[in-house]
Amino acid sequence: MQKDFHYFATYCAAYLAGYTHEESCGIACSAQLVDECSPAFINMLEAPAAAVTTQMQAELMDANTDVTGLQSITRIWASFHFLPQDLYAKRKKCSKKYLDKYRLLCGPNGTLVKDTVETAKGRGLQAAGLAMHVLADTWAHRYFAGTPSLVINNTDHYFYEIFPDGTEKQIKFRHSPMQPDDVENGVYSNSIFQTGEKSVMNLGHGRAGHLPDYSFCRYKYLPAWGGYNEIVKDNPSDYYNAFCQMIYAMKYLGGGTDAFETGVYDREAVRGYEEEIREIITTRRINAEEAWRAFGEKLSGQPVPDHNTEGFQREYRGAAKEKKPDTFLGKFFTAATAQKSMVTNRIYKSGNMLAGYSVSPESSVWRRVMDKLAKAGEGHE
Amino acid sequence: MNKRQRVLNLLMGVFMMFMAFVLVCIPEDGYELIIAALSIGLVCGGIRSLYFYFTMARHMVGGKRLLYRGVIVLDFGLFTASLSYIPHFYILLYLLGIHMFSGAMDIWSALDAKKLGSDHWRLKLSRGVIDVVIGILCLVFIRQRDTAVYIYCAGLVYNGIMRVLASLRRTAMVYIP
Repeated sequence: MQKDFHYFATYCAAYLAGYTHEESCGIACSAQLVDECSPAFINMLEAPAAAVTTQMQAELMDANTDVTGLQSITRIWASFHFLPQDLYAKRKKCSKKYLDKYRLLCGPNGTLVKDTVETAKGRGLQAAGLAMHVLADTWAHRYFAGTPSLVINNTDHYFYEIFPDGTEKQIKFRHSPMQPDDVENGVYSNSIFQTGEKSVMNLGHGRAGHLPDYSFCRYKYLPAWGGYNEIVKDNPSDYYNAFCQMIYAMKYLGGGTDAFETGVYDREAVRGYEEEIREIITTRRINAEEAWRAFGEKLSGQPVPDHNTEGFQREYRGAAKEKKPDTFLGKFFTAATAQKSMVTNRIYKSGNMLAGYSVSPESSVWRRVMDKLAKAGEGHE
Repeated sequence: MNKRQRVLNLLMGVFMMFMAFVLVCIPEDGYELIIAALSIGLVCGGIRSLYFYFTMARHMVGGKRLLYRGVIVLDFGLFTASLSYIPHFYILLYLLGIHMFSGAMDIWSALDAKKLGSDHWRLKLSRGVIDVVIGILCLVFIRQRDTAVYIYCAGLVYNGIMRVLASLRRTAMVYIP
């Protein structure tokens, strides 16, 4: 998903879940920050390296794709952008190597979504925003995996856009990095086909271009793992479900409900706004920021500010070392580390080594390690 | 390209220039070395493709292409290894054939890249055209063995230099986060 949904739509969902305008801004800012907290951002702030939640294009191009490099990439992308749906999925007659990658397929309403929301409970607005980013991406990025893999993430020429009147048009992708997508004429960019299984070009939904991130788009294609079964991706429906599920999740995080269960969507909260939301989601455009902003301002009656973290960065830099975890960004980094630790641990416990080794946060070994690190004043993955 | 790919490309380019030098200096043994290197490379590549197919790609849509590629490459490698004991004339013909085939593939790939709006199709096209032209020139002078060998070595050096330049070039790649 893009900033229009991660920031502005999350703001709207937070407000509908009962948060104040200021709280909704904090949650929305954190949700968008997940797409910006790269190693360069962390280095600039001298923040804990473990809190990285994304990698920028240049960083990925130079990333190592040896075993530890791949584990590092998988830990980031599977924890924050491609949360696995079923770590114990079954697939017949395949090698362990293939099965491990297959089990990292992202999708909504998996056990890890519940764990993500419950991990965020009681940890503040920053954790709530981070959890909403992860939850929303399980809908947009479903059917792709957060690890470089040709055999899981590849697509081929069988790729058709489905228009509202039912007609279909084959999508011809281009590999032109400088030209933006032309949604009017249905011309989109995707990543270049690379035969290398571990090439970063085969990470996530690169082979499908930005199509998963366009809320208006419906398309059908043959995913590499699908055994020639066609998948129809209905983004308008998925984005609407994501929005309603975010409201339900944030009501739980705000104390409005006792439990968070998967497969539940708060459609009651959007009563009276359904048409407006669907109109925003289904309008054919690359960027729906202004539409979501207008909706948010209508809900709260207050201007929704642009996403800007400079003030938070100044706060973090200016804080004393022992006070940094209490700043806005400090709390975000703590939430990011907790999320990454939880997901990596679940992946490891399922017998899958693609995210590397993990020590359970509840174990005494972990506590001893963290105590030592706290004394040394460093953060490690 | 990432750093590892750049280093591999650079080493391959240097190796090709070295092999051209060897072929000019010691043509009798040079052929054996080139055939051996080509054969080992093709056999390893073929086995790698087949291993990848049977462990991973057989579950992938379009994975059979990797099976075919592995079988073809392995066959070429084994066939290449069997060429050691035939007259050098035929070895040179075989090497020319591979060179021209590679050039034709580069031309096809360049035209494809042009259709997709890539900015780097011209370089690839020129490389492909030069490979094909070198192959044709070698065929024209095939009876004058030394001339043909020198033209072929010039082709190897040219390809080696192109690989080295490619490894040093900044490439703009589309990556979708």
